[in-house]
Amino acid sequence: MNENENNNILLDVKNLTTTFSTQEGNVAAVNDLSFQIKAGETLGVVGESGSGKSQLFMSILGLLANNGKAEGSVKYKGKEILNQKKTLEEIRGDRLSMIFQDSMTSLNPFVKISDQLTEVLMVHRGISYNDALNEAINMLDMVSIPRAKTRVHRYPHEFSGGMRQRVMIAMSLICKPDLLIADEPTTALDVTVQAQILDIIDNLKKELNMAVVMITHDLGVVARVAENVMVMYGGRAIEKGTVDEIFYTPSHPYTAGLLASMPRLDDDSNKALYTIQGSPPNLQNLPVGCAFSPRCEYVMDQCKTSVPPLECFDVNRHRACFLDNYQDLIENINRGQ
Amino acid sequence: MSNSSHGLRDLSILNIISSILGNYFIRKILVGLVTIWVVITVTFFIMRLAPGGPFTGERQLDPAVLANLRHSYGLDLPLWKQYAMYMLNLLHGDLGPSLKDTTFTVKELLGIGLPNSILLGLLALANALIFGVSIGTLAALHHNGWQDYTVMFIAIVGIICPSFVLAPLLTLVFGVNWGILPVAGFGSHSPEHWLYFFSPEYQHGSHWWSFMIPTIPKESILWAFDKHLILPVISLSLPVIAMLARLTRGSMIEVMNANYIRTARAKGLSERRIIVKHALKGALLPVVSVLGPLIAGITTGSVVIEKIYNISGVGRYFVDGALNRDYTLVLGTVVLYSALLISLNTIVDITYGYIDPRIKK
Ligand SMILES: Nc1ncnc2c1ncn2[C@@H]1O[C@H](COP(=O)(O)OP(=O)(O)O)[C@@H](O)[C@H]1O
Ligand SMILES: [Mg+2]
Repeated sequence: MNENENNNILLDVKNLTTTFSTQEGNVAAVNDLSFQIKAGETLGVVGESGSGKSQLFMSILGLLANNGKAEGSVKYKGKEILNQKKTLEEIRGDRLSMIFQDSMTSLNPFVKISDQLTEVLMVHRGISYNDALNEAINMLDMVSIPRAKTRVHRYPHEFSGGMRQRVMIAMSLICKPDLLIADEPTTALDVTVQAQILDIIDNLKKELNMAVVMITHDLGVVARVAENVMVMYGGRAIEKGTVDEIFYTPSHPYTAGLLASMPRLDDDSNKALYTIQGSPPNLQNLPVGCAFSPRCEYVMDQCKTSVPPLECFDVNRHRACFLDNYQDLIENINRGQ
Repeated sequence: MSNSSHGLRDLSILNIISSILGNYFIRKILVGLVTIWVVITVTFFIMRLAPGGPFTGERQLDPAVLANLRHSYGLDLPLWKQYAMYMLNLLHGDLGPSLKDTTFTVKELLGIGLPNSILLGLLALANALIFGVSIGTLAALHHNGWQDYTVMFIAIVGIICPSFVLAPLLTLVFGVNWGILPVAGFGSHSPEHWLYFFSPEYQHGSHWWSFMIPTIPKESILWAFDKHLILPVISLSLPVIAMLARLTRGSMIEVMNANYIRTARAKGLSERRIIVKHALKGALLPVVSVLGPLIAGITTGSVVIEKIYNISGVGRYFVDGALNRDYTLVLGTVVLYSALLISLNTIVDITYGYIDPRIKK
């Protein structure tokens, strides 16, 4: 039973800490963060912009900027990969893939789509260009790009933003990876295009039976695609659980605040939306205690002196908060309004 | 009725003309020809504004002899007539006799000088491109490392030190102090090789464009490796290397931070492949776009360098011709230079469109 569980774990991240050295001092983008991803799981990673979502996964894949340094441990199927240049080169784009927010600039403007797609297969699988091209056309069909056979030979500037993101998805999935990390893949796109892209990812996930990490600051996106959710604040994971648990019984005041500040279709009272007071933490100078304590309505003395650890309090539910009475967080906010 | 159909035909002719003018290449060529004409005209009259003439020298010539000389070269005609005659001859490809070096026509002199100048220019350009781009790339890939600082130091020295300062310095060190490299005389020892191109046996049965095919006479194969060229090529290319290194470094740093390079990394490509297949093309675009001005820079630079190192090239003929008031020789070099630069610029424009798919129509 336990053995089986372990075999199922795709990515095992332990005590990951990422710091950037800048002229103004060190930026603590990710702080002592641990989590796991199981095969086939869909994990939503949410948090305000600047909370370290992107850098967390950049660290895992070894894509940090030169001034960044990642410490801790990341195991892919039991094998250590953090900062392992050679190993990462082999599994990036093959077993672990990532797509980015900026679909307009993520493709090389000087290289034909066909070459950008085929080289992934040719590098990782060593197959011929013609075989790779056939597969590339297949993938473009799968992401619903019309007339893929002819358009594969075009340059990126001949595609719209949404189409480019489809090409990115096709490119990242062409080796049928175990895990796709989608970093705000729809943020830069029109609402209608957003929905299409999310559908495509959802369908391909089922078809290829892969795990997906959906990074977003949009809880709507999480509700739509994710099974499990990890909420990040100040480079830490502050809460984890299933989508339903997170949405209906948030156990952290920050999560509750996020939910309350989300516009709801089923709420026709014309109440102004809730906003979390204060501003995001300064990563160059994090508070000694809980990073959220300066903004927290429930702050206690303990919160200002020590960092609450992320603890399991229910089956697969985790929270990092000293507050004992978290059951009515949402109601309290609504009543306060 | 007939009037309107007439008007229509006019319109269609206009359409044809405008569609011909609309053609990119034809427009380029027309603009180029007009530019050459303007340059020649301006040069023609400016030369005549300069005091003195081709026959003023240390020793005063006998007035009768002088009048005779001037008459035989048509210099006694009104200026507009001389201009018209020159342009007419030019249309027939006749650049006239050299007024000073009476054993050669201007065309023959340029025939001797051009290969030397082209060789010097090409070597300097190749040198500049190879070293400039590679040390610029090296610096960018080791951004803020010691390699970067070394390259930037060289670049700054190269930029504040133009070739007319560099050339005498190099001459002093390598030629005079250490005595390891010749300081003058490339090409002047064997001009006969180049006369070969104008000899009857060469021209017989060959096309007018044969001179463009590199049929270098066998005995001068070693010509390109002449050590007389080392100092001139270094002096001419070092400032360009500096400029290119800075340019390449800047654009390479920018490209390596671009999102599409991050994508290439996320695809699991090797660093080598990322640089060669994904970064270089974008990083070299600025280099291609300065290639036109750069070639012009090397060309004008070679005028000075050829003079300093006493190389029988077009540049030296230009300087000597200007100093001697050898009107026809100066005009000939100007025709050659402007035709060369304008066609090279056009080629660069076209290349740019080819490299960057976003501006291809
Ligand atoms: N190269 C860098 N140098 C310094 N700080 C950086 C660098 N890259 C990212 N950061 C900082 O890391 C923090 C986390 O960024 P990121 O993970 O991109 O946030 P997000 O949750 O919006 O994806 C931000 O405060 C950002 O300013
Ligand atoms: Mg981000």
